Amino acid sequence: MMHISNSLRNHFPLLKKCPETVVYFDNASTTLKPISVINKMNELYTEYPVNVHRGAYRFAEQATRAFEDSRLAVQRFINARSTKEIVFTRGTTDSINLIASSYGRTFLKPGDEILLTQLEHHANIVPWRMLCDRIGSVIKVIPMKRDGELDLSNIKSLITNKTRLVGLVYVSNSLGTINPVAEIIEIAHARGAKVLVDAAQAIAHFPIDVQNLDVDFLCFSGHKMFGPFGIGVLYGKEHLLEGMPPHQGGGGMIQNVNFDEVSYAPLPSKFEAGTPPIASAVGLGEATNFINEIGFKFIQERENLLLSYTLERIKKINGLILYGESKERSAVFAFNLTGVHPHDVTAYLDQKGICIRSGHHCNQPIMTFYQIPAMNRASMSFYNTLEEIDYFIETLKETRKFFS
Amino acid sequence: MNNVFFSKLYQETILRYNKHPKNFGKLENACCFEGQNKMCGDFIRLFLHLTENKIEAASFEGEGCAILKASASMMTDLLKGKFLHEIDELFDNFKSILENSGSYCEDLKEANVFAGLSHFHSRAQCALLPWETLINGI
Repeated sequence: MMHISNSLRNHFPLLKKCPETVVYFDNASTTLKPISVINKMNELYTEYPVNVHRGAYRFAEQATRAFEDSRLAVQRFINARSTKEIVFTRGTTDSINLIASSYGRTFLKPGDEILLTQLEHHANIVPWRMLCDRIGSVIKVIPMKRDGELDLSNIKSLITNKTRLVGLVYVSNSLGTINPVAEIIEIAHARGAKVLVDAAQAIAHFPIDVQNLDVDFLCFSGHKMFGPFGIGVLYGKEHLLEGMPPHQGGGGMIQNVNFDEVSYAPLPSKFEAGTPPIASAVGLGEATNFINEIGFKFIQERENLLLSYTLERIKKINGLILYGESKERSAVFAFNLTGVHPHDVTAYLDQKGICIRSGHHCNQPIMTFYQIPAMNRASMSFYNTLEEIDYFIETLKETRKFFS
Repeated sequence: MNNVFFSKLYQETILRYNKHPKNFGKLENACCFEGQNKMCGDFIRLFLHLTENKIEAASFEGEGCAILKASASMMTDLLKGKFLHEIDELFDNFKSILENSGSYCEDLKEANVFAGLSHFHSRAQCALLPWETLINGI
């Protein structure tokens, strides 16, 4: 059995500070941040705490270099062709909104179709609903099946010659389903539709190669990949980003300004109006270094072990309903305990030091599908241990007894 | 983590009402108000029998966590025999004990168990839902 060393857990201040009393199973919501990421941001704020670009003094040079090195690290991390294709945003939600307002308002017409899936997070539904209400395009939905997989039996009729864009979640944030993204991209491209992939729940768990996937737009957040809050990425194919107008105006995104006419900066600055979240961007670059050092091979082996170990045990708990049993999945477990409201489950677990989440997880269409108002969700990362899972399983059994 | 909160709040009172909510069920020919917390799907329907401005009987039905059921049980108990003009003050007292652990208000009787719950923001919403449904309704 692969053993996770304490030195690996010691990268994370929260786990180091309270090794016995904190079981952190809310990684789908946000991962913990390693000390190297925190130190890197601290370095920026203490040693070269100044604005990037155009500053002709050494601190500004240092800050700019750190900021652009981070963009380069992200480019390599997802194997984009060029740093022009890496736009820093506030997060996945911000990235999707950017595409909806810039690409959507420019290239979509009344009656055009946007194809989403029932597994989408609200972040990949609401911007499209807002766009449709504004311009009169139409949302269609790939349905899901009871096991949490997408029902692709009618995919070829759902992608029509009116479909302009397919919005697709890579990994479901509540059920853990890993969708066959490459297959759907191929079908969409054959019909001339562009594809946006929400990779928020994928990016920290397995390698993504945007060129290999041939994805048009890929969105993810720093804080779900051991990086800081407030920074995210929009990857877009260069020719697509080139063709899109800026979604926001301001400093940093222009070449020339007068009151009659403005010309815009080249990519990626065109989409980065105003002072960027410099420290967060630098922290994100450090987070990619952290993942590279740990290695996806280790992360995947480790998380697959946590997945199979948990599945085997959680299914045996009397009165536990597990939602989502996709064949390809990540270590995310959505469940309810019969007769115990999810709030009460999380409150009981909290009191035992276990951090999980309850609610609709920004997945109301999934709640509608299962006809439930809310569910509990435990989500794991490579630093979780089998001992933590044993304790979690025992505490769930206790919870049921306590409330019965 | 707060063991004191958990054991006191849940074990003494809340668990009892979770299993056996008081004043649970529909009242015929009553005023009916509905409230829900969209974030967690909690839902409550409140029934009041009024004569002039006096509440003769109160009950509730709905779906929610132990705190919601306990809060609604206690509130409907408190409402019996109250005049409508007395409700605002009772609600203000309730909000005030939520904010201060260790606080006490005689008029709230058993509902004093929620003192300090507002430190747990999401759970305070559950305790407040029956009250907010009442205030919005009347």
